[in-house]
Amino acid sequence: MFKRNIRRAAIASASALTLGIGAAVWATSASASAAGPAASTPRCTAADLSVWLNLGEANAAAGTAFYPLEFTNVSNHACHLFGYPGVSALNGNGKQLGNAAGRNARFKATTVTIAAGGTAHADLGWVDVGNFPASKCKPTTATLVRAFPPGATHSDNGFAPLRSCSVKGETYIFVTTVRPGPNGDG
Amino acid sequence: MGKPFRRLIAAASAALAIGIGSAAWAATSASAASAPAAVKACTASQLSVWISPDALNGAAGTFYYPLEFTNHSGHACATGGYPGVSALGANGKQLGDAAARNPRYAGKVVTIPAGGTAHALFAYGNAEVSTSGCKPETAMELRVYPPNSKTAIHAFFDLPACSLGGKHVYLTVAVIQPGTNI
Repeated sequence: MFKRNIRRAAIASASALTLGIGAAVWATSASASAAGPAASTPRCTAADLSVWLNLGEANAAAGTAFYPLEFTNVSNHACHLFGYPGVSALNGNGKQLGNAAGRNARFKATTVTIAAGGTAHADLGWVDVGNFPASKCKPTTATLVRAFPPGATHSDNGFAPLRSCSVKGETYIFVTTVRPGPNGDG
Repeated sequence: MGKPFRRLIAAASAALAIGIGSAAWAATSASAASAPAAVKACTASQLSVWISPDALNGAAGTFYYPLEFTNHSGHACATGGYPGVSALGANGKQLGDAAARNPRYAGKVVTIPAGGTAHALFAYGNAEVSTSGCKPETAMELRVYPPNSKTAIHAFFDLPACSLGGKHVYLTVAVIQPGTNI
């Protein structure tokens, strides 16, 4: 018991160290990756995964579009994820647009094992940036969504030609914890 | 005995699809020949289609990506043959020519388990778009007709595309194959 708590603390401080690296890295799941894994599978690395925004399964609600942010395991072995990915939007030059995604705490984190060739998802809410004062957002169209899988220091990119804020201030993307299967939770 | 008859019907309805749109021509008879009785043909509503920009393989003037077909339904389904692919602009209008077929692989039946993914080799002609004078415009989506389907699936895809059709083939696609990787 005691041992495990210490290990958690160590990992939490290690991931705290990464905070300075980039605006999206903050989302590296501190408590998340420390708490979870069944010993039998390794944590999914960015190289194990392809990340994509599922346009076909989009759900629109007032002022926000929800997409499953899919994590497909393109490696030949099972791996697991636990917690929040770090998400931000990029322009065509790879520059981050505005704020990184905030967290939507709707779902408690669980360890999600992704079989080889299988897919897990987080729900991504993308706010209609037309709702923000133009001067505080300076809307532009993103090219990519960049996602750091939970606990990872490398990222994967998916196509995301969506309206975004080019300046920091308003948070316009929200992301939940990773959940099993390819389908969004509405 | 009833089976060959059903095959004929499937082939005929695929032929009917040819007139519908410039991408629908690619609806193929491949999967009609196919599926072991236990597994039904994949419908568009069971599949999500996507391209991972990171899975890029570059060659001179052409980028290769796996065009992925993820079965998000709760049961396995069978597909096979060529999908019909074209790029759309922000207004939903097709940009230039639909993807040509790349005959590199023979068509075969591919069963996609529930939650699993199959792929087709997809090529994007970077050089054709940027140097052929085809009036490039930034695409917004790919429109993909799975083999034998008259319903399309859309995926995000925002690379520059030829807006001028007729003689500017800038996309090609091969038959669907098992697994996620090229």
